[in-house]
Amino acid sequence: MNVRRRGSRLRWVGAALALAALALPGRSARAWDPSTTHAAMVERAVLDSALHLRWMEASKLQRGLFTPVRLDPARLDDESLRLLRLAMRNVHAASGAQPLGGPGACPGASAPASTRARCVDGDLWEMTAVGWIELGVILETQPRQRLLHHFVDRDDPEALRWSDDDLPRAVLRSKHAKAGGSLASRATGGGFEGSGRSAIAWLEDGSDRWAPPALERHLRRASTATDRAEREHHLALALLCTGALLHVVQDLGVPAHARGDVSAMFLPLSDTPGDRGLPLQELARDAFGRSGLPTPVELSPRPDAEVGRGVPLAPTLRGHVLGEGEWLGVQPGTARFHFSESSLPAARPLGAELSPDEAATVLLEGSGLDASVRDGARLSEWPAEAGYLVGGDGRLLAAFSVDERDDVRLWLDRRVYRAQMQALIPAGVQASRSVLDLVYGAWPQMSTDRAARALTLTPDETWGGATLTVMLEGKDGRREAVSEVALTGAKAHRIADAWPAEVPEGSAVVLVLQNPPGVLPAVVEHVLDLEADEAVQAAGPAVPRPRAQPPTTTGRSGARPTARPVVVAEPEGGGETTTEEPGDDAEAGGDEPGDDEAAASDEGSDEGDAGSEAP
Amino acid sequence: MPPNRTTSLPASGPSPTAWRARGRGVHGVVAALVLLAATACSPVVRPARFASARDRVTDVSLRGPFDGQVIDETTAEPIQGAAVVGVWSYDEGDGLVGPAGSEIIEVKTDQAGRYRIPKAPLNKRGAHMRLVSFDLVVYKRGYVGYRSDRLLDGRPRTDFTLRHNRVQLRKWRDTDSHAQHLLFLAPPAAVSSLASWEREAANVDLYRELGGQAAGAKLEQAPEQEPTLQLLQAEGLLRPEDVRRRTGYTEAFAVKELGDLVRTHFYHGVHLEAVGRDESWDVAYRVWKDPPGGLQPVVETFEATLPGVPVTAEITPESWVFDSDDVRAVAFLDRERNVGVLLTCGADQCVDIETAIILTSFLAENLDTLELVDAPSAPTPGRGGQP
Repeated sequence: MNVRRRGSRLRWVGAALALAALALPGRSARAWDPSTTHAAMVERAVLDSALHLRWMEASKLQRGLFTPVRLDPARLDDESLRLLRLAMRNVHAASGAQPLGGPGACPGASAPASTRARCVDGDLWEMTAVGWIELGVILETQPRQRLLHHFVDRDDPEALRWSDDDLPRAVLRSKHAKAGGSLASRATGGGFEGSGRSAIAWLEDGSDRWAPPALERHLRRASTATDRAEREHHLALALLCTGALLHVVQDLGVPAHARGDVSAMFLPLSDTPGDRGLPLQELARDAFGRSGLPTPVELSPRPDAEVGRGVPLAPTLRGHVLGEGEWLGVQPGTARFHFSESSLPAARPLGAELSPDEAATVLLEGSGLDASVRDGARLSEWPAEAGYLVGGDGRLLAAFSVDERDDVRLWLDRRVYRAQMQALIPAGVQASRSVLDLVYGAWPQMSTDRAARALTLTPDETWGGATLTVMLEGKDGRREAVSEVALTGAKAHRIADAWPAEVPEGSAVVLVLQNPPGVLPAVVEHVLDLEADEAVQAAGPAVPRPRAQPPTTTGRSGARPTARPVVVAEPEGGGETTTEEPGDDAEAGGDEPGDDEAAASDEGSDEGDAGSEAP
Repeated sequence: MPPNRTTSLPASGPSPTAWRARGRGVHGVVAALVLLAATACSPVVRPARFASARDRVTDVSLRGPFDGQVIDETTAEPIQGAAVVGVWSYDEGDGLVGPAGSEIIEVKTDQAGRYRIPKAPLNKRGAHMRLVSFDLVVYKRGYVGYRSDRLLDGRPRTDFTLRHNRVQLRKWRDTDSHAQHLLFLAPPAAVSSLASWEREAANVDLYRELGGQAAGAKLEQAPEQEPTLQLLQAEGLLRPEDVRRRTGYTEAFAVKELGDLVRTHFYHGVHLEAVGRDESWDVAYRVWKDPPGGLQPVVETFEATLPGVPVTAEITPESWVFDSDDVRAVAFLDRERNVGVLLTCGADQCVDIETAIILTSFLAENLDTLELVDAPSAPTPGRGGQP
């Protein structure tokens, strides 16, 4: 069992902090430095992922990581707007996450031209897609109590709550206050009192405006909303949520977070009073800045084989964090192999007669480290006044020294931190890359037969249970669903008369695949290139023509179905066919013809999400 | 107001002895609060990671002030009008530390390419405010940008200095990646607006670097033979005989290329070198046609080359005329043809500014003869370089 430092010193400090917390404003916390280390990890991860490649190929090269994406503040609820503004105010300007535009950026026509330099359009904010992801990393620190769901419980990492009952309550209260918690929440016990919602719970928290469920909702709207501006707005929000998700995943690659060690966040960084934080974070920022992780960050893609581009390490976010299949998981890969600052084994006496191996075994009792680390561990020298504890894998685990009581005390120094960073930062990048490849999935194998207006779609297991919506996007950017087909497993589906016989000039056929709620990837879209000559492949099992859009319907803008698109599903070999008659639950003449069932439920979710989105 | 505190990280993690010492140091709540109150205004200033100046001993601090010169890496010529943005960034918090915004100063380089950034305003105050970094970002269209903390390839920059900093900008090459460039710049808003034109090219560049086939297919399918590099041919616009016709010069000209800018499919610089004479007898002209970034960077080049010259209508509605004792220069834009031209003429060849204007009008009359020709060799495929 690990023993954490406690005692009168901490209580004094805690009391002082608690008093100060009532008077002084505070800021957000994080494990890696968002402006340097997190940003560089995100940068590396997006280059290693297939996100850009997939987006470009799905959009006829129109959408990529550098595409400007606009977010409309008028569509945000007050709290989302407040948090976003806070993040924009606090983000470091030279970190690549400072958007253009926003309220007040476009003065009147009579204003000097120089004052309009950063005007976008009205009050809209604009930034590249990768910029929104990086801003999402900062957003995840606003307000600071969001830090509390960046931890897992040390004893039960799968638990939905974590607790830290070793710290005095005065310290915990002060930390809660500094984390932005209100007096009311403390009074009611709803705030940070030594426990909190864990990262595992956050991953599935439908009420958190930046959590993965919100990410999923925004991604769906980014493909299925009728209006182009609305789709773009939701894409920006989805990218912000992505940044928040990467922040949490990367934080769980920090020992203090993976081992539920909050007190490590309060270690002194210098002799200046109040200059406290997590030494690992400060050293990473100081040693590498944004340029090295810990080797220089090449700003160009690495080979597919080197990074596993496009292949998720686990099929779920939970699996990414806790491990699944052959993937060990970010949290176990950190907590079982590295000490955090305040979760080191307690000081204890060691007999001089012990060998370095035996001494290490004694020190590592109850450490919670993996057997591969404990087996073969040794002290660099014993007996000795000071030295290092070396793991069975040859890494430095901790420094040690003998105190005046002749107890051997472990601590972390720069060499140990460097060894940690060498292992943890690349692992964090790898996990982040994988998360991106999971969330932004690949379009399945497909061929088209233009003459027959037919698609042959061959989904793998990822999309076997998805629904295909065929949408027509007009010149004005409005999308309308023209048909819908439920896929029936990982096999070839031939879909005849998939799009109208006459597509108006300037319009595009957009295919959207959506998995059932809660399944990642949630949605992917593909703009059909009707101009390209594509080979007609062997037809797969026939799926009846979607009846909501008969082939005789012309494609003029008014030709959208007046009824809800029909869902047609037929197993291979012509089994039972389920159809939903047009008009059964139609939104006749409605303005949201593109709203399918999922989208409709998304709207409801949005409204339920703390009133997140104004219509 | 206490002086700003510069602190450094401890050389190592907290040793047992250090723990005890710190424990004694916080024996009273009152003492701690007094200390906090006393230091509530000015931020802690982290140590600078850059040097003060080359060959000079001066204090170095993240606060500044900063100065330096921006020059062309190849020609060592100063670059006027480059955007220079200084960013001081802050963190805040006791224990729970987070970003607390930035202070920003934007300047442009002067004629000598110099910039000066005053000391940090330090308007951000708070008991736990920390000034953690200073970044200098320099952007000039047509060049690879500059950051004080890292290089284009991602490695840390180590030659940034507080004073007398030398910013050597490399001209943009066709082989450079806009994706890498934008990631490298991580631009503050002031630069982001200037660099926004690079976004589309960045998407395509990164797509290619990732092995994308859709764009690559168009490049790779059609030609079964080696792709041919094409270059702009502007030699016919103003021939030696045209010059002689106006100036009466009877001796020979050698027709050469101006080597300071790389010839591309959208740029050609022609040098009519008076054989056996000094350069005051030379004539030179630069022509841009259909530059990928539009004509605005050409205008910026004109403005940098002909500082303070107002726009006139001598050749076209957008013309610039510059006269001095040594050299005459005339530039113009032909929007209809999407062409920009800059002619310079030595004072001995062009004895007055009217001569330079007439030579330029000769040239303007021949714009329709501009053409693309196959390059003798193909060292680099053209891909969106900038003037």
